[in-house]
Amino acid sequence: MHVTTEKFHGRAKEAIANKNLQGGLFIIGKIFTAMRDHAMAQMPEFEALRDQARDIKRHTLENLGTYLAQFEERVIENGGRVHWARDGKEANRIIAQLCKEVDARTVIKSKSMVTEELELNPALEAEGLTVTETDLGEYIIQLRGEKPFHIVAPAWHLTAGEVADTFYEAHKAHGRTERVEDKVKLVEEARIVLRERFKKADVGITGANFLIAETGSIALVTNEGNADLCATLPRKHIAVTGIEKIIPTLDDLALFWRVLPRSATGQDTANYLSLYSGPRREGDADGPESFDIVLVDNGRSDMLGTAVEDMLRCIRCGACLNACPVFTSVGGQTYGSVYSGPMGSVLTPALTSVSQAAMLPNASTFCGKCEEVCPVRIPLPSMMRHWREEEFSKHYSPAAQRWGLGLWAYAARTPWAYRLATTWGRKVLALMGGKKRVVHALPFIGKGWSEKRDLNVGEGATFLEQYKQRKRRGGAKGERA
Amino acid sequence: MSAREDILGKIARSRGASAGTAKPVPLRPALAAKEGAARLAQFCHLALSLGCTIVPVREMRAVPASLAHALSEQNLKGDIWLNDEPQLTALSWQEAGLLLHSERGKDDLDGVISVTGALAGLAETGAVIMQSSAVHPFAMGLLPDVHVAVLRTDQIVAGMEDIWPLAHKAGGNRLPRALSLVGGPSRTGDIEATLVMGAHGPRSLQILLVGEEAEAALTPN
Repeated sequence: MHVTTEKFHGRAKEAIANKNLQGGLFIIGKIFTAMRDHAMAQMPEFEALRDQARDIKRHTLENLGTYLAQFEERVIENGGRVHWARDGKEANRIIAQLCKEVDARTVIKSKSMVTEELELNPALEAEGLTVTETDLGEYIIQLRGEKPFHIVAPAWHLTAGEVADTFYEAHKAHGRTERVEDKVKLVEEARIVLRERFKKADVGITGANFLIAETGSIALVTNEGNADLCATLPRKHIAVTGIEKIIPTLDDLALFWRVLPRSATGQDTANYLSLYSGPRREGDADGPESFDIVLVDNGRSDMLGTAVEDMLRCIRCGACLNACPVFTSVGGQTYGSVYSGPMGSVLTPALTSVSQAAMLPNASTFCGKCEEVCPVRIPLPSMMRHWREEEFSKHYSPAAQRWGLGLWAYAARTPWAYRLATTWGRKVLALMGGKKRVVHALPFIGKGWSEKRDLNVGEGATFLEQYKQRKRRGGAKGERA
Repeated sequence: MSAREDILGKIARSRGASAGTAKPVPLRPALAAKEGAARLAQFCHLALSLGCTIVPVREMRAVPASLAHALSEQNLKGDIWLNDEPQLTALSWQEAGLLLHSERGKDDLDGVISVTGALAGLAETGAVIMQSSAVHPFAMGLLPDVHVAVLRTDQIVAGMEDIWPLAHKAGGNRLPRALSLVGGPSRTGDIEATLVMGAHGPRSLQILLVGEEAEAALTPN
């Protein structure tokens, strides 16, 4: 998984200046969250369901090996196969090999964040396969060569006009000569072009929102129905997902199917909640001849037993992105990782390394909104704090920041130095601030900070000075200075 | 060492010997526990709000005539692709002026009107439950432009938990290959967050609801 998190600051500036992108973010931040709140209000048991969702995931992670083995056994009984992949390279090699088994030339895909993580498409294209994303948003960004803007709404940073330009260029080859900007017509155009690909494809690749241990099934959630076409029309169905997606039973699935759409888009249900349990059965009227599941580790098992184990509960609903003041200001592509927002800031360093992704856990105000909305109650802020501590103790943070924090730590442990610094600091700042008591430019390490903000100079005495004064006056406890 | 042994070994080493916490029994929300007339009414209300149309039909025998009437009201031709469920093939479609087609290829089903039964209706969400089988090509609920699902009122279940035993029974003691809870016609909001119907699946999902109490359930109070 490639990350470019070091470019966060530059991309954040561009994102804030991009009006179209800000329009998409407004909908995510305001409308998605309002719809989620509305959906929650319609289901009085929602908070209890969240507790249960957390507990089921926790129990499953504690018995992960047992449930994965049970799942594998059931898949084989159903006539399918399970493949295990330690990392992205191994997963891509397995999937390419599976495509070769059926002499495949064309592949259709439904949206899967794991395949984004694996960078599966370029790997398959290098093997000579034609890969088409079929979720409308994913199709648009595939044509534009971009990464998803949001894990649920990948193309919301684009206007209909931009989509029209993209389609006009890409669909000339399909004999379409007119540039349309009407959204209904754009959807229709994609439907016509993609329908032909669906019918001709040799292999359908889907992700899996959940794996059901007791039945060996995969569960998929979409509004467009594209995953169901991928799982039904081609000769071969390959499902690719992470080992942490497993849950024990169908009744557990009912609970997660109640929690996921409500948390993601505020819908009471998605249009297609589907279960696939193997290849075409004897006597079945249709369905793929073979059914393969690729279980991807890629750093997940390393998270077990660590401070970020709880992150493996994540069901990729995107609620934490929608609630996050940082995400809703800069959008997903700024993060430089396929996983963005609070969940991405915790998961990315775990799947790559703290040194590669140190910027992300710092892209947070610690307001706690993400934890408040998380359907499986992942303590996201405290895990971001964990990564910040790792970053500091491993000396990955910038020198000026380390030097500043070191200075502060010395002062905090040395009372005379602290008093001296605060007393004189206040006096110097008061002089610099003048009558308006505002400092526009700080020197030294404060320079960067004051480039974007003014510093208001505090009024009156410092806490310690007030404390001393009160003591001298012999003031009673609780008396105000 | 194989990848399987590697991964399972790593998991085992990280877990230790502790048995861990017990798994809670998932609770069933009130929305998924409706009985009798309230269940039927909730199904109709939610299915309509998902964008389905519902045509009440008093008895199974009357299905072809009701469908012919509904199609002509929408200016649709009476060419239909019927699946092979005995309860449907036994009906007199030609008498109602409908023309049956039996081709099953991907190109044949693309853009047509399909008529199928369903495993169940789900009062919890308003979804129609579809499953693959010998008599139902699963693509018949995906490739056509119009999907007509014939559903009896006694097939409507309260919650998702009630689907699993029905599906196991239909699949011969295990789940069928494919099982979908279809909540209205296919849709997308991927361009500028504007909801557009007919993304990849059928553009309309029309439920023929068969039973004496169907009409009353559709009439508010």
